[in-house]
Formats: sequence, structure tokens, C-alpha cells
Amino acid sequence: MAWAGTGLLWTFAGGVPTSRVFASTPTPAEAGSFSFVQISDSHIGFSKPVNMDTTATLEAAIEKINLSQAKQPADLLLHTGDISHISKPEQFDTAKRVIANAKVDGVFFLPGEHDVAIDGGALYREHFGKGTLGGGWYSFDHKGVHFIGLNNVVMLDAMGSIGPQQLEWMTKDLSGLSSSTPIVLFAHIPLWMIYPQWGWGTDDGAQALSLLKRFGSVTVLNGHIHQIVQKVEGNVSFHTAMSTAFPQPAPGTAPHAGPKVVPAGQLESVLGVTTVNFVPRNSALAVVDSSLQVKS
Amino acid sequence: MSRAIVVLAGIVAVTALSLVLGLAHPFGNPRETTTTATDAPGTLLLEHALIPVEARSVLREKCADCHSAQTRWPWYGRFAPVSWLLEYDIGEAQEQMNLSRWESLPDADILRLRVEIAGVARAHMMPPLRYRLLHHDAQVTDGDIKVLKDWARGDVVSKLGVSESTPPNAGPGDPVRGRLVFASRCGGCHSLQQHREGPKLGGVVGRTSGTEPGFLYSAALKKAAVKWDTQSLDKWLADPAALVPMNNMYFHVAKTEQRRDLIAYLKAYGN
Repeated sequence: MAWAGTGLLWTFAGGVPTSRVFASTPTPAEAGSFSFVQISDSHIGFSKPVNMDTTATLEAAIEKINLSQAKQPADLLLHTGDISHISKPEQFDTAKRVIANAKVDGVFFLPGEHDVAIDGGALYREHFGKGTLGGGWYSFDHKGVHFIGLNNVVMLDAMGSIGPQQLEWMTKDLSGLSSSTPIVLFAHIPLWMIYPQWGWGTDDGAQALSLLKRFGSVTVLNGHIHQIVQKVEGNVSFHTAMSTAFPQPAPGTAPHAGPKVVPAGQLESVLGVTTVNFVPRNSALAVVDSSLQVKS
Repeated sequence: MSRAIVVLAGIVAVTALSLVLGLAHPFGNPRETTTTATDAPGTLLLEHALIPVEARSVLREKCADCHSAQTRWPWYGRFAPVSWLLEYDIGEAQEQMNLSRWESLPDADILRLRVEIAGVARAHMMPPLRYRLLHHDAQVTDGDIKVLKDWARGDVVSKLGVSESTPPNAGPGDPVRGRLVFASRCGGCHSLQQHREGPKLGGVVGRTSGTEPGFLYSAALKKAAVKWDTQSLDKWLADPAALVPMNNMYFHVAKTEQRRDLIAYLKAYGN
């Protein structure tokens, strides 16, 4: 389930996941295929012994993305929330400045609970939510793939929730699409129940997923828990990303969630970026995680 | 002719059997709980409770059938298995909230129940559908919902039972609004029932800082030993680092009235 360290390439064929060592498998370029990158939980402004400089580790993540652009260009960059640590203007500014260095065609953001907890997300929307709806949700199409970004961080009991307004919007958003359209659904909090005892799940996530039943290929990308957890269920593959700032304990291995201190020199091995490869004829997208320790 | 007699005899036998089975109470018999300390037979429900008259009549008409010891048992309530369903439902309902014991409840429970009553009425979760199907007039109206909401918001209730609604910028705070503040400002890290990334907040009012078992508090917060009351919570929420330097809470609630509503909500959820 959870994995941290060297890169692995996950490919999904007929719902069966197989993995190979990342570095040995350059993806062949195929007509219509493309890649995009996900980063998450950069927590700019956080400064504790586990990571005193989250700006530096975000810079390292962007540098890593830029280095691999030569080998395997990614079109887009998605940031799945907790951009800032406490929604301060200078934290948003720093994140924006660092992420602007990414050599990609487009950057897309979603809020994490850390981005909205002071002012209900007003400053977040000002910085990152131009052209988005409501609390910052939206959809767009890229090379035949339909991307849907949800805000699930208005929370009770520290568990994610989407709310009827967004679900209604999502129903409408999907209504015109053919069932063969590949869907990428991304949101900050995991949309499936990973560990409800720690609030690692979304209250009404199942409702959102039920709207996607008719689609042949659904990829769900989340952050929030600062570690990789993945699962395949029928046509849906779920994936959570590493943080670029600090790791969190595996579910149930600590009294409660929170930053996890790792031995000196090991931080880069538990931070990382996620690359997603789309190949038109494949039913599922290949999701590749690589830690900041793995160069290029 | 003889066929009609057989059918008639059958009906009589089934009815009798149903009545006899109705004497059994596999889920308990709520009829036995009619008399309580605050609700002697013959008194009007909630007669002396500090509840505005309008809200009181909604509670009596729409809730009391199951949520009090003054159930108006229907004629079919003696026949098993219908009687068992009724007894089970009413037993459960009294367990959740018994209006006959309202006046002996602690303040914190009353505050909490007011908010919950307004919430379930607004969501039309109560009265439940199976009850409404047999009691067509039991559906809460928009007027009822407003009455219950105003009651849940009201903090000053005179002896006459007339409430004064709290305007947004004055008074001791509104737990209903506080619930929304909690969702948007605190819910990312805190739960009322259990520790998440932050400690559990149910029962925080009256607690001493850094003492809830099972949570890894900062040394600073444990050492500070702040007694959480309206004043200290307000200071803490306005600027945690000013009250206790080097603590682990990064967030704050900037608006005075939001803090006031939030504290009212935390108080309402005493335990």
C-alpha cells in the first residue's frame, strides 16, 4: 500500500496493477499521449525541526520536474492543496513565485484546509482561484481527458466533505460527456475512506464517485495525508501523493495525524512528485511517484 | 354460510392472538415510564420549562408523541407486532431526548439539544417519515422551523418564556452560527469526539489546557495549564501564540463575533 523511496511505475491493465522500477522505463511517445505532474502539500511557512525550510523543498520539487521535462515532458502541473501553511499572503506569494518556475504549459490549483482556515479561502481564491466556481472548483479538458477539481476542505470532524452544491455542479458537468472520456478527479482530501479514525476520507466522497460509474477510466488524485496510498476498484484507480514539505505517519502508527520527524538526511526520500502518463488506448493512466532523492 | 363463520372465527382468533402477543414487550414498555419527577400525571408537558410559548407548542405537537412520557397511544398500539414497533421507536426516542425530563437536564444538554432540534427540523429528518405517514399534520412547517431556530439562537429567556433573539454583534454568541464557524475554521484539524491532528474539542470548556489523555500536546501548552473558559478561549482563538508562546496551534479566528459564536457552540457541546 504505502510506498516511499525509489521510483516505481504503476500501470493498470484490466484493473490489475503491475509495477516496474521507474528509472528503467522511459515511456514511449505515442500519438495523443501526454503526461502531467501532481505536487501537493507544500505548506509554505511551516518551519519545524522535521523541515525548517519548506520553500527549499518545494523549489527542489520544481527543479526535479524541470529536469525530467527533457526526457518526458509534462504538459500540466496540478497542485492538490495545502499550498500554504496558514494562508498568509506572503506564503501564497512565495508559493506562486516558486511554482511559476515550472516549465509546463499550465498550472492548476485546489485549496487544502490550510489554505482556507483563516478567511474562508478569500485570499486563496484571489491568488489561485481565478475563473473557478464557488469555493474554487472547476473542470477543464486537455487532449481528450476531462479534469475535475473539487474543493472538499469545508470540514466537520476533520473529515473532507464536498457538499450538495458541488455534487450538483459535478452532475451537470459530466452530463454531456461520453462514457469513454477518461476522467481525472482531483481534490485535496482523499475521496475514499483511507482511515476515518484520523479523518482521512471524504464524508460524501462515495456520492461523487457514484457519478463516475459509467466512465471506463477514472483516476482519482489526492493529497492531505503526505504519503502514497493507492487502490484500484473496478474502473477507478485512487492515488494519494507525497508532500513536498514533510511526511505523516502511516494510518494507525501514531496516536494522531501530524508531521512525522524522520532521521537526518532521510527527508528527501519521503517527499516527492507524482507523474501521470496518459496513453489513449490504455484503459487506465499510469501513475508514477518519485521522491526528491531520485535525481532527474 | 359455514364458510363465513370460519372466516369470522379466523379474524377473531388472529385479533385475539395479536392482543395477547401485544401483552409481551420484547423491546421494553415505554408506557411504564409515564411518571417522572418533573412530569407528574395531569401536568402539561414543559409547563414550567423556560421555553418560548411558540417553541413549546411545536415540541408538544410535533415531538412529544415519541420524545416524552406523554405519548398519545393510538388504538392500534395494543396489537402485536405493530405494538412492538411503536414501543421500540418510542423507547429509542425517549433515550435520545425525553421532554418530560427537560427541566432536570443540565444547561449544557439543553443548549446542545436546542441546536440539534433546530437542525433536524430544518433538515426534515424529524418527525420521521413513518410517523408522518400516519400523522398527516406532524410535518414541521417553515413557521415551526423558524420558531425552533429562533429558540436555539435565543440566549435570554425570561420566566414568561419569551425569548430575545441575539443580534449578530452582541450578546453571548449563537451556537447555530458557531457550528458553521467550527466547520469552516476548525474542522480541518479538530473533531468534537476524537483527537485528529488537533485534540478533541467536545468538553473543552472547563478543561485545563494540555490535559486530554492520548494527545501529544506541545510542552508549552501543558506547562501553561490554562483553564478554558469564555475569556481564555477568546484570547486563545484571537492569537494562540500571544497567550501561550511556542504552542502548536497555527490558526486563529480573527473576528470577535465569530469567536463568540464558536465559544457558544463549544459550550453547547459540553461533553
